[in-house]
Amino acid sequence: MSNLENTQAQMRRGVLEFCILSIIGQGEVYPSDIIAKMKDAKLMVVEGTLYPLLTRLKNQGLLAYTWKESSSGPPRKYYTLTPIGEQFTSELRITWQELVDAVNQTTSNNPIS
Amino acid sequence: MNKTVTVNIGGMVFHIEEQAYDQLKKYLEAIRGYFTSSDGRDEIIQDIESRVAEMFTERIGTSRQVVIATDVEHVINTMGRPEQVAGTDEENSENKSSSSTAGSTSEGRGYRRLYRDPDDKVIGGVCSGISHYIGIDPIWLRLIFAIAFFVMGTGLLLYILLLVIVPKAKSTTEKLEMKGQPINIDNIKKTIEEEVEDIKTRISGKRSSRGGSSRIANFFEAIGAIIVAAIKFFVGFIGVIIAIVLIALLFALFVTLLGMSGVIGGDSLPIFLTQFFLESWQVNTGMFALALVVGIPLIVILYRIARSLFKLKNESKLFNYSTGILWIVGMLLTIWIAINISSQFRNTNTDRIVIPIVQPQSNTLHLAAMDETFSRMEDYDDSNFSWDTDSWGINSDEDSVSFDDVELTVQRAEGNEFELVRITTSRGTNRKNAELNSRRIVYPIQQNDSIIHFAKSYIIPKGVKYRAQKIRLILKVPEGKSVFLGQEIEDVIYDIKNVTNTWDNDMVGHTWTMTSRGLECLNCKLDEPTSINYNYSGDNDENDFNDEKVKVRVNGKNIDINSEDDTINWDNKDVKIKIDGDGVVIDAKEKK
Repeated sequence: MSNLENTQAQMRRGVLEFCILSIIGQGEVYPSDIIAKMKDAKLMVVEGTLYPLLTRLKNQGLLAYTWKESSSGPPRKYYTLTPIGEQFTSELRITWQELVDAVNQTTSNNPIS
Repeated sequence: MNKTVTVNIGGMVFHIEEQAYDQLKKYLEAIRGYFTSSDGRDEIIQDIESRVAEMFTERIGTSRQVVIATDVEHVINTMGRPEQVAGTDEENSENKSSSSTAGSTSEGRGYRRLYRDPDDKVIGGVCSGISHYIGIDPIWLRLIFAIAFFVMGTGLLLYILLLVIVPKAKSTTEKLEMKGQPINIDNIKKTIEEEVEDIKTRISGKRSSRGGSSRIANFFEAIGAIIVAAIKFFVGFIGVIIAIVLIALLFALFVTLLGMSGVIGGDSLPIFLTQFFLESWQVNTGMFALALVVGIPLIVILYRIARSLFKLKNESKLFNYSTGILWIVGMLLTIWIAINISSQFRNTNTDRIVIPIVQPQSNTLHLAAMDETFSRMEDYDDSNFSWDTDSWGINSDEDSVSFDDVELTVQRAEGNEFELVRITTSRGTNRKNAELNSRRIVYPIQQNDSIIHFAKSYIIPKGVKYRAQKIRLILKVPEGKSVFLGQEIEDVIYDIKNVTNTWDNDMVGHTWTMTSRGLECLNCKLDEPTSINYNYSGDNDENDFNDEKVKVRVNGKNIDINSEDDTINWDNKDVKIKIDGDGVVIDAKEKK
């Protein structure tokens, strides 16, 4: 893994949790939905990465899930945010906004006035 | 044409080609290797498996039935390589990467556990397991065990013991632990690959080269299977026998209870207990409690045996709780009854009555025991009480119980007259009750001229309970007057003090006169005035004494006393020697 890839991976990894929580925050979702969205956004390359993350977030009390029958295949887990999860996500959102501002400010070509 | 394996993935059944199966298995094992159970490993694997199942279902569609290698490859590509799967979890990946680099050197051969090695075995893999553990070639251990086999079979015993105690290394992790290799993804992968290879070679008919002496292994495996089957059969057989015994016990308990409650006639409990010791409610409650305390464990054991015999796995919580609670209830009831019974012995009452007797014409009072006939009493062996089992429910007049807790002693009278004192003690819930209990027992004393007849036992009539009643009789003899102790009175008298320290059973049959010193036997003719010369004159002389029954031999080393009887008993003017079950008494009497 080259240095560039490594840095890119680390950057993605940092926002992964926030993105997943935000997707789930938009309504009850099933892992495949999350994966689809993440793949569209090129935030995630392989599906496998999602499952350990979901399990960890669930164990932290941020997520809850319910089993739902599926027409094809085994029953699926549908995830929702818990109240703690919602709180957590909104705080992350603030942090993200601050980060975006900070990054924009530091990386813009405007000379320091 | 390819062989397929049927697998259950995420609760769905798939037919999967063997090669594809190996690949998938390796893949999942590899992912598993990245997580610890605290990460929620099982749940992650389960989620991934569910997703895999879904992807397989999508790909197979309706056109085909079998999952093939390309499907697995697709799944792996979609899911990501094991290190990618774990890669998201930053802490995790850091941990793993550090441990996989540093671990191979620092963990090295540190953490290892004793397992049996199923991949390298002659019989059970015990020797190879130990060899992994201590790091020597298994051939030496096998040699040692083989030699030890001929030393009283200790090798065999030890081997069987180890075979039973030491677990077999089943999972990849255990196999790595056995070899002391760090558990990281590379090693797991390697081990699984080795295993798969091994299975493949075995399936294709070529025996695993690692097995080495595989024929022997086969032979021992067969023998082992036979032994295990035999043991299982034997255990099952014993289980059946125990079950039969338990059923019989339960049945007996049931019948006994019915008997107690009067449903079935019979006298399973001694009438003494039911009529003369306990209240009827105590009997009923006590029986119920005992049935619970004894019966519940029997039922539980029976249930367990039945379950293991019929291989029932699911444990009934309701059964466990209800039997547990019933048993505790039984225990508490038993304790309560015990406390209740003991409370009926709490208080003591003592009555002291002077029984009027007619002074004899002569100066001698004859003491005799009363015929048993007056009360139909019978001594029941040596036990304290006796009961008449025939009489239960037939003739209530006969319902009585007798106790021989009666003691008669002789003392000096203050005045000039014979005097007889009866002291009765009893226990009860309170003083009043105790007094009642002592008054209501029957103890007859009859006097015919100069003969007083004492009963050997007192009687508790129907309706009165045994509350540890005792009767103590004191006959006071004035100085200068005598008592004659009849033979049968021996059962009644107790520890009568006398001048010669004669024991009770030797006092009977003689007339004893109250003198200034105490009771003295005036007509005691000692059988033969045997004088034994105990003076040992030393050297090699041997002093022997022979009498018809007793031989005494004194020599330089010791004194031998032999008797044909069970006891040795001399009593003459100066010396008393008595040897019997109670001990040895040698008493030099004081010269008066």
